[in-house]
Amino acid sequence: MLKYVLKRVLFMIPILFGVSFLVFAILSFTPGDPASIILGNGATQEAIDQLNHELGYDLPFLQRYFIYVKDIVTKFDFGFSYRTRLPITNELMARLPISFRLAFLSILLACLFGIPIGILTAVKQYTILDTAPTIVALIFAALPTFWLGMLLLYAFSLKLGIFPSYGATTWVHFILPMLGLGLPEAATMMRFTRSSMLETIRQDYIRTARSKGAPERRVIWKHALKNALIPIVTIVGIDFAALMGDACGTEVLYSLPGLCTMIINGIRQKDVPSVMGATLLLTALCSLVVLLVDIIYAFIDPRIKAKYSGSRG
Amino acid sequence: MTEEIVFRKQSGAKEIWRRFKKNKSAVVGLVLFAVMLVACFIVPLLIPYSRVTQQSIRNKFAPPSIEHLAGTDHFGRDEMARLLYGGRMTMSVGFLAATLSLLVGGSLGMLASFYDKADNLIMRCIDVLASMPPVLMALAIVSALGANLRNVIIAIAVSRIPAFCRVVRAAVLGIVDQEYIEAARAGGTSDFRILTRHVLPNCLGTIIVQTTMNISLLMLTAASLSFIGMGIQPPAPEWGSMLSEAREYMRSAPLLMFLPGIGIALVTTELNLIGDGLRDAFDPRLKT
Repeated sequence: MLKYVLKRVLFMIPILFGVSFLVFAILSFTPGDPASIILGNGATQEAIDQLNHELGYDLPFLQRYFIYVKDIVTKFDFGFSYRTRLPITNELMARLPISFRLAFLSILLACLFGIPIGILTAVKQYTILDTAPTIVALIFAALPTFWLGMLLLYAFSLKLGIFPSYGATTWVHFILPMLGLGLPEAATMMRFTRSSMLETIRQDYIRTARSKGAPERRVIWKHALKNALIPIVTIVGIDFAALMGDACGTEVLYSLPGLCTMIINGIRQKDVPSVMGATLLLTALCSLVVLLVDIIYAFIDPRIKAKYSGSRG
Repeated sequence: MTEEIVFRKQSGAKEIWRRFKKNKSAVVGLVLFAVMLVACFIVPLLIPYSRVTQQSIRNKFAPPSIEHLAGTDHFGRDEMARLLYGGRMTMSVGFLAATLSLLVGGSLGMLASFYDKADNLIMRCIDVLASMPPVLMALAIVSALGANLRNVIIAIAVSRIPAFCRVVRAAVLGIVDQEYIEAARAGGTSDFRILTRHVLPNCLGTIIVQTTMNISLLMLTAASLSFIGMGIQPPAPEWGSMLSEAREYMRSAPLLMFLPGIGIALVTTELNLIGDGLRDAFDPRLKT
């Protein structure tokens, strides 16, 4: 088991190198240089060259990439923003909790609603308790998160004035973004839980449990649910990671100073270190979450555990 | 003998259509989708494009009327014309990006599953691509290439390549081990012919279902890109960028914010319904 975990952790290193190189290369192909954007149209060529030199932008591409990676690996230093000249590491640490909180609250909401309702619809298949939630989920799963966010904003802060429309200072500020991002996710989760549960109920061991006279309640909660939940755990992890990146529209809509807005602003101002830092951090987090889920998966599924127990070190 | 083969070939597609027809919600989705296709691809041929761009500041935020069926926007442009042209844009981006993504991702997936040597290389590269959230990937590519229609299509197509590649690889892996592939190989059939004649037809169902589902995801990505100002640029109408513009006038003209969103939600719902229906029709064992 330890060997499996170790192997998976080590495998993250080439992935992060690959992503960092890819993004660095993409951003370097973008036309324009940071100095001319910072100094504006009136700047002389000399001033632009001078500033580009100070920013280290006049070095060849591979050298810049090498310096960048070296600073992160040896000093955990993500460099300075071209725009504000402030250390990126500080900005990342300030923005990370906001992105994380938004994604965490949304996935929590999605689990609280999606999984129980998904189980209910599967158990009560072909009754009104199945069709009604399924139709609602079908609609919610198709809503663009930023549009649902706009509707919530319109209803709850413009018309009713209950929730603030922007900012991230208190927990109340996170309620609307959480609903906007979390409800479509809850619908997706419900649909997934439903099909996972239905598939499990059809298995032979469920028929065995029923035929040996186990009460229906026990069959559902003990035999079916335990097995149906295993694939759901994976989806929760993968979707949590995806939510952190897909929160772009929601963050823009509610002016939440998260990592996505940092990337969007960075791209607009050609602030390569900002974009790099935020992208790398998000990617690292996503990989980490997926890794954690895979490990949990291996622990809760005895079949997978048995596969690796031979190499327990 | 020949008769029997012909009979079977016909029944393949017919049988799927017969099962698809029995699924009421899928048929509803298909009909609604057809209506929207006509509205967004045929009706705009009858409306001059000038209605989309012609501004009339005096006439801004006009309520719905005979002349302007859905009213006018903040520049006094006809909202209905913009909705229809915008839908054409959003859907075209989705279709084209899905096709591109399927061609590239699907070919990579096939190569990976068919040739053991290529498998490791291709799948590790795909792992790198897949570890970035798709919207961020699309954002980075658009920022490098510049925000225009072609580049937005390329960007969101690339962001979905990992998904297509993995799906096709998994589907093909389930087939290459079958005995009939071995038989074809033993008979000296070329790899290309095995792939196109024996492997592809057998995983076509999975590919069609996945593509249908992915078109709606790609449309949502395209709309989010436009919404944050990194996609299709105004004044060209696109549902996402129309929503982005409408956001400023949410208080005075909420209708402008409702309509494009309803458009996106309808198309994605319809595509999901069709996708679910196709999945059940192709493989009744999976029916839920």
